[in-house]
Amino acid sequence: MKTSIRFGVPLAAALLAIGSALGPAYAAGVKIGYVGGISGACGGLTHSARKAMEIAQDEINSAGGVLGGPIEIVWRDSKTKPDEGSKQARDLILSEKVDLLTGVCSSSVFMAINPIAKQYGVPLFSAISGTHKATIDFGHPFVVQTQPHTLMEGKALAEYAARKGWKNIVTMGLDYEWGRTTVKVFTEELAKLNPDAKITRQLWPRIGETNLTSYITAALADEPDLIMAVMFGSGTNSLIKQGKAYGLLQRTELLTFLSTESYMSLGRDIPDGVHGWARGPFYALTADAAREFVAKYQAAHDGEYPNDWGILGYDVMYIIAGALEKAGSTDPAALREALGAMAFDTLRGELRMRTIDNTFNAPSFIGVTRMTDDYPFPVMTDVNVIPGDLTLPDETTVQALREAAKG
Amino acid sequence: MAAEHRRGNASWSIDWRLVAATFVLVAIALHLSPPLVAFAIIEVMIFALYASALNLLLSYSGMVSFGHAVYFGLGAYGLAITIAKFGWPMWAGVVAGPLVSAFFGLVYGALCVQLTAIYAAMLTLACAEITFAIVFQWFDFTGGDSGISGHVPAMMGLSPAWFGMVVLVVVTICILALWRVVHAPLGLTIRAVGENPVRAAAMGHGRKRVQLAAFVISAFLSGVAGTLYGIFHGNVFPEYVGVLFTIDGLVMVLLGGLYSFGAGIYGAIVYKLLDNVMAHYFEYWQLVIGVILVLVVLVSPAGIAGLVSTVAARLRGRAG
Repeated sequence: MKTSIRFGVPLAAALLAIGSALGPAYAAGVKIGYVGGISGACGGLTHSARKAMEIAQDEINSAGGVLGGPIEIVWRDSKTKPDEGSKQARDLILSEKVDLLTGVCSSSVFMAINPIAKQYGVPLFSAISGTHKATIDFGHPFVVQTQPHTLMEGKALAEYAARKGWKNIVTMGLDYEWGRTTVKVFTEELAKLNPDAKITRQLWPRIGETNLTSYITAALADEPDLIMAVMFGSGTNSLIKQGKAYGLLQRTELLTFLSTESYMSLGRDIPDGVHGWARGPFYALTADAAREFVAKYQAAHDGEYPNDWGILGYDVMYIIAGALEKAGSTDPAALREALGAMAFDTLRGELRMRTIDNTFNAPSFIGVTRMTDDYPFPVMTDVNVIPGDLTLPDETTVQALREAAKG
Repeated sequence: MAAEHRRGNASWSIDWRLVAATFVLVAIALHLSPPLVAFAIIEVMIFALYASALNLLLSYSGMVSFGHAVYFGLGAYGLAITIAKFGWPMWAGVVAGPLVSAFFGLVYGALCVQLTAIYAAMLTLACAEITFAIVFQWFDFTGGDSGISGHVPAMMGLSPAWFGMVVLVVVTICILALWRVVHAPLGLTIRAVGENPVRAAAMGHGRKRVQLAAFVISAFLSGVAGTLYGIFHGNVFPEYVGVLFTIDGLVMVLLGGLYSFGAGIYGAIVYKLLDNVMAHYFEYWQLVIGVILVLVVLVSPAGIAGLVSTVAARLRGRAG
């Protein structure tokens, strides 16, 4: 049995042998570390972000790069797992000596990388994850949010619901942080904007639950004006498909999260008349730069359209490049000062970052689905662009959340 | 080694020269490796401890746990909650992590040993589901799906090499302690109960009591591994108590070779290295790992330990 613990020799030999395989290759210039769910649950979302970021990288480098050199991106797969994301972020910092980090898809990976960025003083730009906790509750000088976070979206939805004048509302939120927080903010903000509105019932389906009939019947029993469903992907798909049997869309209005890849994958399964919200729908962007980007993206990828995450990924690259140029260095403090002092021309319009929580005034897009002749899938029409300035939480709220997070 | 175990070899001496050589080699590997390789070594060591703790149940006590990640994850949660929620110092969190795991091992184990075979295994799964649901949804206390992060600096603020040394010392002590347990009278009793509970009962060793002892020891050591993992990453998330971490542990033991003390160690080395290396080269790395696992199981049902024994026997035969 003594031989049974002879594991150390093969262990050490094997680990040393793979050393060269995993070893880094360093190059000079501004180095950006991307940590995102290339595989795992986020795999279906992030491929477009990567393609768009590569387009932006080529454009920036062709125009002379930044700080006198090219931008290099080192891609790392978090496998959409927080522990893997945390490990890859640390290696990017320690081995690759990246100047800053970006990417992150799921909230948990964002929350895992956030303290790593703080610990090593490396700026982290969220391009995809929407949790507010990273920049508000556990915010620090080096973390930046470039898209509308959970609190902003909840407020934007309330703004939209108030404009529509819906009074009896059933909420259906996935039973985790995104669902709970969005419903909470929506409820609180709607009470301010339209005191006549009433939340008659709150329902909390579990993530991955595919049979939603009991929730649908419970919601319809209240004869609501609106079902506000904080769901995505297969959850939204199940809700729409199973709701047909109960005449859901004939009996009430539905407001749910519908980013571009949902339209592309569900196609005509999404009926006309669903109210959807999104973070960067390419078809609703009016800037010339957006049209040029979409054309370039399609030309490079066999006519494929970019999804919301592609738009956000492209934007984050130009935000980073612009701030680096203004800062004149990769120094995190100078970079933050530059971020707070300038306006950025993005595909989503002119955006600014405020320094109390390093969050951009990114807009939310809410519209009504319709099959048009322009695209092979339904899109949102009559899109309401809710400006970020309207939805950003005030400083008192930010401070209160930070105090609460201290426990 | 399986045969050795079946024969009930009671030798419990430790080849200290081998332990020292292993220790030195791993230490050198930690210091010569770039960070990503050092991270892989650290992961292997932590999961070797976790899988070895699970192996105590699978190979020796006659129990199957379909929810062992609970004790791994609760070690990390014990650490995080002690520091982030109660404001206690880090050393208190380090002590609390394994104790929390052992406590839940005692409570859940007391329930699970009431049943046997697949029924007990299903009860371990039920306990795991309950724990996961609580951890995932008790937002105010556990952070829900956002977890708890930033309560300790990742790797205690040490370099990968020096944090790896800390892990190496702790894991070595724990695995040596486990070796002693398995080969001490308690371990022999656990084996007896695992192999033939009726005969063990006739000798005065009640199955439930002995299996519960094994369950608590296994939970405690899993908690040590989980606590180390929590410090390694400086965070904890519901995934750490989730079914995928349980499957990881089971696969490591099966891959390593059931009924072998080294199962968890061999399995962790191969599985985590595949996990780390494959993702660099293949987008569909999970598929590649799956195929490799199937091949290993088909070629060597006794796992890597069986493969090593077979190769060693052939080499000895040729030499003779």
